[in-house]
This record gives sequence, structure tokens and C-alpha cells, in this order.
Amino acid sequence: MRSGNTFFHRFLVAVFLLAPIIPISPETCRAEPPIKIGVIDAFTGGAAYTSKLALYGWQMVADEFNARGGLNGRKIEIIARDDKFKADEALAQARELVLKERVDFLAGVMNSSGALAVSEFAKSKKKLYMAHSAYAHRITGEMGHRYVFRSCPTAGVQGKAQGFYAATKPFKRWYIIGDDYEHGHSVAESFIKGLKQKKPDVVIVGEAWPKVGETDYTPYLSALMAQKPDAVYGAWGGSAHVPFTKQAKMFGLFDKIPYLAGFLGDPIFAKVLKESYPVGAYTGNSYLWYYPATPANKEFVKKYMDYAAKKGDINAYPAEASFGGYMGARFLTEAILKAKSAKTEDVINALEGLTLETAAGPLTMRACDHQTMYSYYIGEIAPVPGYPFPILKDIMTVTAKEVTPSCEEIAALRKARK
Amino acid sequence: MPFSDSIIFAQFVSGLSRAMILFIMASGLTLVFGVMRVINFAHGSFYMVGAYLAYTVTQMLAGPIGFWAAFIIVPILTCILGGVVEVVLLRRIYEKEHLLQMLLTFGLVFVFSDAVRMIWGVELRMVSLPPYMAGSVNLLGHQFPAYHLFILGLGVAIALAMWLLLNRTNFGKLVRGAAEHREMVGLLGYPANRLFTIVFMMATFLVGLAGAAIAPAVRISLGMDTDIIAECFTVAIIGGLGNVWGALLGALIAGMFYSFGILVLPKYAMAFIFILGGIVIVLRPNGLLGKTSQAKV
Amino acid sequence: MDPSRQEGARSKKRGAQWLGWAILGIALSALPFILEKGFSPYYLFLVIKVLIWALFAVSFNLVLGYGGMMSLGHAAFFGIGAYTCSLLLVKTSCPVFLAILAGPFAAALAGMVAAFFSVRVQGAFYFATITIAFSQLAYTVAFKWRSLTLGDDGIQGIPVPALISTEATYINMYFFALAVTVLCIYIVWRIVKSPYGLLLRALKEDSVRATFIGMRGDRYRFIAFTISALFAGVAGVLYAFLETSVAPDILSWTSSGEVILMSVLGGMTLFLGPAVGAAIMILLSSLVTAYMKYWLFTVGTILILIVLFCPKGVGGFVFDRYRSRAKGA
Repeated sequence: MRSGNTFFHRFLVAVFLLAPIIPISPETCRAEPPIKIGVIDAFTGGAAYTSKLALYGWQMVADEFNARGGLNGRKIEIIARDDKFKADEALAQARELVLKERVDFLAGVMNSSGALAVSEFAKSKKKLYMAHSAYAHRITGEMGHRYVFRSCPTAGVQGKAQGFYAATKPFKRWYIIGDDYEHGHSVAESFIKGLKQKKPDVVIVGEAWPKVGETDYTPYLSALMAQKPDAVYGAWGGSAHVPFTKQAKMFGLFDKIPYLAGFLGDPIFAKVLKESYPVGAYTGNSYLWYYPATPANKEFVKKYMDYAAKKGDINAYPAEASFGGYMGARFLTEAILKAKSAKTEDVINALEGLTLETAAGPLTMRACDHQTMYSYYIGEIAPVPGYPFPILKDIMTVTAKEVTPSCEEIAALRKARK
Repeated sequence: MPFSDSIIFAQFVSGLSRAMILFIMASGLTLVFGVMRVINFAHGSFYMVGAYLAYTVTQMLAGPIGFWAAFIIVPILTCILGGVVEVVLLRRIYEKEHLLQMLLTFGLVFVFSDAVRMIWGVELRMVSLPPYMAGSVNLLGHQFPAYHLFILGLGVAIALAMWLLLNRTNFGKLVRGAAEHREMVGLLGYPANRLFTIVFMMATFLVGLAGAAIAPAVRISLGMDTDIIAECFTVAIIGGLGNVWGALLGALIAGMFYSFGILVLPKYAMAFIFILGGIVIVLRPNGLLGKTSQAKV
Repeated sequence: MDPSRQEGARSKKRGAQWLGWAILGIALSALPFILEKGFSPYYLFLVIKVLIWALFAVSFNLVLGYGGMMSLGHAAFFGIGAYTCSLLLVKTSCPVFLAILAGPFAAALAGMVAAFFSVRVQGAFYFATITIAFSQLAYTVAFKWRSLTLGDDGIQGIPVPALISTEATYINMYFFALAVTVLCIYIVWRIVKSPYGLLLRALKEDSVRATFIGMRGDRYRFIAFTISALFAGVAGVLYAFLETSVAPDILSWTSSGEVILMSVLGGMTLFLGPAVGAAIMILLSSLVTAYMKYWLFTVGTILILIVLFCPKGVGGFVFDRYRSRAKGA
């Protein structure tokens, strides 16, 4: 009995020590090794509903790429990893993907500090990283470098465009409310800058910054309404729209005071908010599934919805997040095909300055900062016959050139960094 | 900055409604601690389950029927779930060190969190209000959501019901006695096990009710469990663990601190209640309404 | 056994022990090369991570297992160590070794402040709550004080000294982390074995009796807390060098939860128990990456099972069996 125990214990210890080695699968000698792309995103947690959409985009493009024969027979393999919306987790996954799975490219990470950390890691390991849903300006601004690219817009660009639009309205006294973290502050700052640039006589009569994840906005709403501003700007990151809009509707905010906020036009919110959806409020996106109603856009929408339906997501109209992921994949695959290689340096060279015809018109991956040049479409939420939920009407287009910082400004920011 | 009377009134009312949700949740927590001397970290998890269940109920029964049905069905379900948890898990750890008790309920938080994700997925969920609840009501020149006033009323009703239960029934006497002197109850021959189970089920009933009540007003998402738990604990501590009226007092203080705090020092308003909690712990550990002679934890 | 045979037996035992240490030393020195060259640098990275968290967990256990205090906010000290060092290196031209020392120093200072308020609190739950409050405070400062800590963006690109930089290879960092970890754990070991350590354990076993014999419980707990915070800060500095990025998340109470889990899993009653727990948790989580969908569920269930059936942890369980077998032999 005793010796059996000893053996058993030693066996356990040996298994325990050898455990890390088990998952090593020797690379099967394939003639055409796959092109591995590691997509890291928040697939669990509060932001998961968006991350999944971006992943659809990657998978769609990968399927098409592979169906067309890939790169000389080399097919794309997408490895998805969950970062739980935490920066250290994202970095850990990036490390595992690069060092253990030996991926060729990295992508994803909606959490901006995670994106910055992964970007830094990619730089040190000389791997191309395609950020597809992180909006912090610094990623392609002062912290940008050769190995990071971004296929979604920046908070700065969107905020400024919103400011330009707000300047066309007669409101003078604005109240700002938003999520108290980097994104909220940054988009509000850009909004105010853009607004004051076109309409210098506006006054910010108050600001409120509830914490991220706040569930009860009533004290903020009552204080806000008591201030009686001309208009309110909502600097929300995303899911905060749901409780805030619901509660604001209960307060009757949208009947009394004009409201402008980014992301509100996302089809997800129209679906989730239903009767609380603020008809009459102003919002915008860098991608709208119905505008411009070009054949390219219609085709993309149909393809996307078919794909999502196959995954069990019925009536899933593409959102901005879907498009960011999709464009990230498209830019990368087109660059691979253009360079006729999956080697990082070749792909980078092919990617810089690449212009693609897309559902949102021609989009360029600017060479000087590796940022996709997006326009912004902004208008008023209204029910339009023929559409399943309220969409935007009287849409104003703010072109990328008007609101994107110039190459010189970016270069100056990067030089100023220690 | 001088404040007009109207802002003060507005903040007062919104502070009250916030306080009511906190009270409903914290009262269950404090009751469990008072009688069973167990800290249930998973309290917030039951709340989250309640909110998601409310979603499911309103999906199955559309319209106002579903809304009202949720108020009845959801707390019963969470109550049963609580009973199961108590019998299967909690009962085994009453005699163990507090550390281990805390760890067990900690583990429960993880399990529940993933279980909710596995059952309901990661989508944002939403519960609709019946039209007559969705509007706003004019009170002294200010618009308030009708629903929040409803919650206010609900909180008051629950407070009353608890008072009646604790002070006017034999069972209530037993609970109060157990909170003061747990050993006595066993000595008097009452099966402590059964009492504990019932108390825990009461607490989970209440917290399920809170979850169902608040579901129409907020985003129902994973993360609800941890969002509210810190404030809930602080409220219970400030009032005095084991004391339901302490929970009410603590909740009122928290609600008012918050709604007025954001006028005065908006950036730090959320910290006020934790600072107060810290002060209470250090200076008067048994809480504002707790007795100093209460047995140490 | 007559004395001469006892002498012989003892010297044989000592000889065997020396041999054991020598083998261990060789194995540890060869390990990095085998892992990085033979398999993948990723495994070496995991080993370094285990070392760092083992240090954190073992020093944390001074408070948890030996001091009997459930501190839910220890990640704050880990994070303060990491942040202090990183900020000094990124924002100032502070010499590297000063920055490395500043980390644990700042952590210890924070530990003293936290301990001052916490140790006088009676009751495990209240203590736990105050520690949570402190760590949330630290987290909020890191998150919101953007001008100081770069806020929720975090700090990237920490300039690691070239000698231990992980850009080319992880081997140098491995030896550095190994040396630091072994040294620190050894120091903690000496503390635990010292008269102070014994008294601390006595205090945990029966605080009433301890006070009766004249012990100032508060002071002992205060010292334990501060020392533990110091070494948590050391671990934090190592973490900053390994990851080259820090974000406010590492200060949150969920990170504290991880180190508690490691200690409980490995065994709070055993000195190296938490180290075992750290190894298990880290290796398990990286193995289970493919099954990440159920990670929380798995961890929670393991925790519940351990509390119910195996409160001494895996390490404690194995150690007990080993001891009973040795006794029976």
C-alpha cells in the first residue's frame, strides 16, 4: 500500500512538472503552413457584444481569402483569444500568441490601454498589429510606430466631427456628461474643440462624469435638468448608452433638451433600447449600413447579415464595430496579396498608403501614421418608412481631411514623446 | 455655488430612490450576517441572476403582464436558488474559520458569473416598462421618472413589511433573538439549521426582488454582480451588520451623499460613501446603529 | 541507535541534502536554456511569471497564513511597486537601481499607512473591507490622476536595463528574477523562523491568550503587514520589467483575489504552499487557454471544493500525506 502511494505521488509530481510540455504539438510538416492571425478581444464581460461583431468581420474575410486559394495555397487561420477587457490580460494573450502559437499577425483589443500595451509588445517583437476597435488617439498618434496599424476611427476625429455638426445648430449653452475614463474625456475634449472652432460663442455650463459602469444616473439627470442647458452632449464609451438613455427617457430629457452623442446610431442600440430609443436626438458613425446607399454597401450588408445569421445572429445589421474588424481584415489580406508575401516587413510596405474600395467608399491607410482615414456621418434620429428601426435623417458628412490631424502634427507628437 | 431650492429638491428625491434599491439589497445582506454570521460575497450574484431572470420572464410573457409577473416569479426563483445554495454549500462552513467562509462565497461569485454568461450569453439585455410606468411625473416643477417613484414606494413597502415581520411575529422575534445571541436560539431548542435556511432564503428573495425591480432601468449585463456589491457592503457596515434599520439608515446616507456629492465635488462623489465607511469601521466598528456589546466577528 | 551510528546517519543525511541542492541548482540553471531553445521562449516566460507570483504569494502569506489576516487589497502594494519604478524610469532620468529600490520602498510605505488603520480593526470582515477600500483608493488614484500615472491608458515601453531586457531573450531576466525571488523568499523564511515569526503564529492561533501574556498584537500585525507589502513591491518591480507595460488593472481587488487563490490553493499553512499555488494557477490558466470559456467557472469550483474538502490546499494535502508516510515508515 505504501509503495503504491509513493509511486502514485511521484507520478503526480512528474505529471505536474511535465504538464507545460504537453500542449506542444510539433508543427506537422505541411507543405503550406497557414498564415496565423491572432485576434484578441473582450469576448467576455460588458463589452463582449461588440467584440463579437468585429470578429465576424475577420472570419468573413478569412473565409473569402481561403476560398479564393489564399496566398499560393497558404490559408488564413484565425486564433481568437479573450482579454476580458483587461490590459494585462491582452498583453498576456499577445505574448502567448506570438511566442507559443507563433502567429504571423496580431489584431484586435478594444481596450485602449490593452491596445497600447500590445502595440508596444508587437514593436519589440517586430510583428504587425492591426488595432480594429480601440479609439484612443495615442495608438496611432504619439505612441504610433512602424508595426501598428488601425482600421477603425479615433475618438479625436469623431469628437471633432460631432463638434462641427453641433456648431451648425443654434444651441449656445452645452452640458457635457460622460463616462469617467480616458475615452470619455478625450472625445469630449475633441468635441469642445471642434465646436468652439466653428462657433466660438458657445458656453459649457456644466460637466458631469459618472464612473464607468454606473447603473443609476438619476442624481446626474436631475442635476442636469435643473441646470436647463440648451443642449446636452453625451461622451459615452458604448454600453453606458443603455442605462443612461433609458433613465434619461424616463426623466423626459429627450422631449425637453436636444441631445447629441456618438455611437447611438449603432443598430445594436436601436434593437436593445426599443421604445426608449431617443428619436429626435443627434448621433453619428463612421460607418452606416444604409448610407451612402451604394451598391458596394448593400452588397456588404447582405454578405455580413448572411454570415451573422449562420452564426445564429438573426437580423444583425453591421455596426461600426463590425466594419472596423472587417476593414482590418481586408486591409491586411489585400496587403498580403499585393506584397505576394506574408512576411511582416513586406506586408507593412504594401499596407502603407493602400487605398481600397469599400462599402463606405474609398478608404486609405495613411502611410505617415498607419491610420485609416474615415469620414463621419451625423444626423438626426428619426423613423423612416421602409427601415426596421429609426435611422438617421438629414445626414451631414464630415470628410476625413477636415478632422484628421495632419502628418506634420502627428510627427511632432511622436518626436515630443521622450 | 449657491443652489436653488429646486435643485436641492430634485437631488433629494433622486437620492431617495437610489437609497431604496440599496436598502432592499443591503437589508438581506445584513440579515444574513446578523443571524448566520456569514459574509455572503455572492449577494451581488443573486441580484444579477434576478435581473437576468426578469429579462427571461418578460420575454416569455409579453407586455405589462410579464412585467408584473416578474416581480412575483423572480424573487421566488432566487429564493429557491438561495435555499439550495444554503443547504448544499453554506451549511458545511458555518463552523469553519471566517476566512474559509469568505473564500467559499468568493468562489460562488465566479461560478455564478460564468453560469449566467453560459445561460444568457454576452448580449446586452433589456426589460421594457409598461407604458404607464415609462413616463415622467411632475413634482414641484421637476420631472421625475414615474418608475423611480414606484421603486421608492416599493422600498417603503418593504421596510414596513420587514418591520411588521420582525416586530410583530414570533418568527421575527426569533430572528431578532438569533441576531443578538446566536447560541441562545440553539439552547432554547429551536432547530438553528432551519432558521438559517429561512433567513438566507429571505435575503435572496429580497435581492432577487431588487434585481427584478431595477432591471428595467439599467443595462442588464455581466458585471452587475460586482458593480453593486461594494456599495452594498459599505451601506450594511455603516448601519451596523445585523441591523436592518441600520441598513436603511446607511442606504439613506449613501443615497444622499451621492446625489448631493455630485453637485459639490463631482469627481469624488463616489468615494464619499467609502470614506465614511472607512471612518465608521475604524471608529465605531459596529456601525451607527449597532450595539457595542455585540459579539466580535 | 547508538551515538556513532546516529552520527553516521546524520552526516549521510547532510550529504544527501547537499547533493539535493546541487542537483536543484544545476536543474534551475539549465532550465532556461532548455525551455527557450528547445521549446519556446513562452515557457520560460511562464516560469518567470511563476517566480514573480510565487514571491508575491509567499510574502502575502505572511499576512494571511501566518498573521491570520485576510487582506483583500494586497495587489495595491504590488501595483504601487510596479508603478513607482515605472514612473521613475519613464518620466524622470532616475538611475535604474534607485528606481528599483524605490518600488518596494513606496510599497512598504503604503503598507505602513494601510496597516496603521487596518490592524486595529477587530473582526475579519471589517479588516477585509478596509483593505479593499485601500486598494480601491490606490486603483482610483492610478486610474484618475492622469498627470501622474497616465490614467487608464497605463504606461507602456518601460525602459528595462539592457542586461535583463527581454527583447532578445528571456534568459537574462530569468536569472535576475530567480536571484531576487530566492533571496527574498529566503529572507521571509528567516523571518518566519525567527522568534518574531513564532510569536506571530501564536497570535494567530489564539489572540486572546497572546494578549494575556503581554503581546501587543497590533504591533506584530503591523510589522507583518509592512514586510509583506515590501516584498509585494519587489514582485511588482519584477513584473514591470517582465511585461514592460503596467495598467491600473493590476491594482484592483480582482488581482488581490488571484493571490489569495494561489495561497489557498497551494496551502496557507505551508511556507512554500503559496508558491505551489502560484505555479498551479499560472500553468493551469495558460494550458486552459483553449478552454478559456469556462475559466471563471473552473476557478470558482476549485475554490469551493478546496474550502469544503481540502482547506489546507494542494500543497498542504500532499505535505500531510508525505509526512504521515514518513512517520509510518
